[in-house]
Amino acid sequence: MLTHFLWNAFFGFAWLILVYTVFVNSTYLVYTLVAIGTVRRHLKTRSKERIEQIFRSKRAPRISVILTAYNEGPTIIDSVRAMMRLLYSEYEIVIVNDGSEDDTLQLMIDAFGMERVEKTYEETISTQPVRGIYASFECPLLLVVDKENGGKADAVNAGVNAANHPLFCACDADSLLEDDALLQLVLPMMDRLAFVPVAGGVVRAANGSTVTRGTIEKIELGHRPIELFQVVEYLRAFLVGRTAQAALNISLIVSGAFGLFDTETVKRVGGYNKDAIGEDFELIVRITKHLHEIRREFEIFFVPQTVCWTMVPHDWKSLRNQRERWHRGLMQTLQWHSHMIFNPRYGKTGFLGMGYFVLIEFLGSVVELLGYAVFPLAVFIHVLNLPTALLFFLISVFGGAFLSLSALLLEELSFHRYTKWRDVLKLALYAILENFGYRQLTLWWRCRAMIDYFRRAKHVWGEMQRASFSAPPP
Amino acid sequence: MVVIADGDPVTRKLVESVVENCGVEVAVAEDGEEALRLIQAHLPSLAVLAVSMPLRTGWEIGKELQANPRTSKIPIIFLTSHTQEKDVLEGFLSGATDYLFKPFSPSDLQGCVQAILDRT
Amino acid sequence: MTALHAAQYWALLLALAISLALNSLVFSAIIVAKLVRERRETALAALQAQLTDLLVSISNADETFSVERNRVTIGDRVILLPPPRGLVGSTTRELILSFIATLKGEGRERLTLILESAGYVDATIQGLKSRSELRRARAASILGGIGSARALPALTERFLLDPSQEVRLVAAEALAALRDIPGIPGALLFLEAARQPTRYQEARIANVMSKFGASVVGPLEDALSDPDARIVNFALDVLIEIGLVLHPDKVIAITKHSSAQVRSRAIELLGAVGRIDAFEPVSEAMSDSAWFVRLNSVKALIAMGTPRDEAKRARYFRALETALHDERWAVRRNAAAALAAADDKGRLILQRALTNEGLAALHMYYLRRGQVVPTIT
Repeated sequence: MLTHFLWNAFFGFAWLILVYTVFVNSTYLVYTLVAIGTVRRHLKTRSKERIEQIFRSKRAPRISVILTAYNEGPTIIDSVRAMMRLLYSEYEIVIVNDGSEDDTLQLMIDAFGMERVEKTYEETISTQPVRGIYASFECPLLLVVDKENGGKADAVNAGVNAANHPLFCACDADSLLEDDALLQLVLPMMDRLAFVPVAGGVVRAANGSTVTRGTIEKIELGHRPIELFQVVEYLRAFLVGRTAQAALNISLIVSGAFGLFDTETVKRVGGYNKDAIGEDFELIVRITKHLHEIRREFEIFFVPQTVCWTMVPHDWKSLRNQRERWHRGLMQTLQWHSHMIFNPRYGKTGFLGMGYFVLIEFLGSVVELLGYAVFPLAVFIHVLNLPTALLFFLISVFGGAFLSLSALLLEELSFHRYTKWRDVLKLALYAILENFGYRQLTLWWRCRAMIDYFRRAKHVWGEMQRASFSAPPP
Repeated sequence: MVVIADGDPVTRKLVESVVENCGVEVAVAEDGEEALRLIQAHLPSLAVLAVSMPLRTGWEIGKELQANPRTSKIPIIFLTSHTQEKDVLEGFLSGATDYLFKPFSPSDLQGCVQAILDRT
Repeated sequence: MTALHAAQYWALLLALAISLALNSLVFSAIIVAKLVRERRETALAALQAQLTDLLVSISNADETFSVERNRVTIGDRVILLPPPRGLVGSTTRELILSFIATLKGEGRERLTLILESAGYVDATIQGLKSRSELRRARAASILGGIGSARALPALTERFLLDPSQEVRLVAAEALAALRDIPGIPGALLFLEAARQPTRYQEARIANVMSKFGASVVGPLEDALSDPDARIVNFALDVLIEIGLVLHPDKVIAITKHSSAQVRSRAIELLGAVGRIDAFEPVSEAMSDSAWFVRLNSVKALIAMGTPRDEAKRARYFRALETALHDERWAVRRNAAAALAAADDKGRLILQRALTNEGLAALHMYYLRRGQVVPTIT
């Protein structure tokens, strides 16, 4: 009797998982097809000539590039010099020294002949106190904002306050931009009739590439498996995922490493949230919410050929911390803005965009984990035989591999940045291997993050109850 | 000998051919880093540099050369498609001996190069 | 139960088989794509190397040169150019175009002649008739790059009649590159700008119009009295780019426009043109409520240069001294730059202002330097 019940329960559950997996994979498949179409269209429109026009035009909007620096002593000068090499006619570089304890500030003062100036600084978004503003008369492009430490979000907010221009590009100090990055990002903002508050580019792993004085000299793959797995992951997430989301106009993530924002809009929604774990995601959701509420038509754009190269974690501990943080950030943002989910008031973004995050990113982890728990259990109690369970496993694994390989194909057809046969084959191998351990590992981390998040939330909530006041989400 | 640097292969070939017509040996660099290295190693009688180049801009190289007494006397011709006034000023502040805009006429460049080589 | 098990089992196997097949398919596609690309690149590399040498010789106007159809004779070498078809044709064309873009003078004319004679120009003109908007735009852009006068009629036709705005724009750009001024009535171009294009297209139209110089100044100045501020701004931008004004009174009239953006650009234009008799409106603008108007008026004063007339000089320095105490740092900085660049009197004013604590660093810098500094934002 019990066996029969278990058997039914199990099968019901298995079908559920199967249906869900098919649903997720179909979504990704749709994303892949949309991404292929979009990228090919991009390539056909000859963007090189178009951006030449912008470069020569006085009417191109001015951009403030905001770099945040905390203890970046050894690399800050190279990073700034590399930013000064960007191809754009009118832009400034605002470097925010977030209370560095090393000689970051002094290095910049010495290298660029910076002097303290009494520039008006309007604190539109409140931040940690600003200690001083420095400008260089030799390099009028540069502006340094020295402030007390407050974290990355706080630092970018200070940069936004100090920025003079209608658009800003938020960058990590160790992001390596390609020289036409600003031109590429500004093109959709100029070339659409709709309002584009945010434009993002692709983030790729620079590990293994030769970096000279802040610029990538040669693109190569790293050696460590952990780096290779991430390269494949990023290709799948950015080249396929983000491109498709942008094409369907449901974008919700623009990486903090690389995005062009409308300064006014960001100021109006209050800048980055210091308490947010995933501050980039949270900001975009808030911008989306705001624009829907004031009924302003907009598009968030994603430019697949613009690349920002960044160093990805190369040891397992850092990677775990990063992924757990990302997932906690995801949950926090979803919780804070839960009223947007499936709410028709927020248009396609509320339905498909947030919905995607809830159903696939968030719920996906849960379902997958349950799958890994339930199937072995079922085998153990003889409800399912081993070969069948293995079949399920292999199908899901190769389903995942298919999507990763498709991302690789798209890369090969479009940008083909990895030219060596060895590199291409390596990536293909890792695209398959990814599903035999790496993916499960990241899954496990995500679930841990989830449990941790709920525990903390309960803890905080409990404490708040005791203190008898409630803190509404910002 | 003359050092030539430009990120664009077509320009490199054209300038190389012009300079060779002047009867001088030529060393060619594809990016700013290599250009600086070649100049510092060979101390040429002239450098023809593009402004926009990967790794180091022509201006950066010019300033770097000015800072070092060994290389500060090397004449530089900047070859560029930037035509804004402030760029020209920047070029001269970086130690340009002459400035040539793209598109350029090979005979003009040859005249320029020959004049400088004759002087030294 | 067993039967269900079996059917299920086969279904799963099928699913796995499909999954594996798809994987193999994509994997093979990656390999094939890479192979094809490499094969193509090697084949084209050889062609490019050969052509490059030839093109370099042609560009150096020393050797004797003649061309008949696709047969090019340079000195004692003869080369047959490939026909303007397919990948080989387009690679050849791209290579020649990149040479044309870098060159000026006789070398360039020879290259254009080669493309005309070997049929490339005609082939591209055919492309202007394509049904695909993208292809037409591409053809127009190439013709602009080639610079052959033979394309003028077809390009003009596209500009005037093509249903797609993108194609019209590219055709206009091509015509501007060909320096065919009578071919486009400046007013028509302006109409394009008024048709609510995107900012990017506006920028392109502005670029085209600025290449036309004096011939479009008339319609632009007329547009300055348009009630739509966007049109006025556009006209001002192009005029600033051209740097020419035939009726300064029309520009001076809008220095009091209700929109600060318009005022700012009008002042910038007066500075760009450098008419001293605009001294009055520019110095008045130094007390404008909008900081960027004040900034532009300081820059315009600098552009107009230190006046020689005693009375004007006095007002010039007075205006700059006031700007030294502006609430906006950018204005102060530029005023200090102007004073440092002026002459002894200017530097004297700067020195006196040293007593004001807040401006110390700025002024010390300029006095220390004692040199001319470029105008900065």
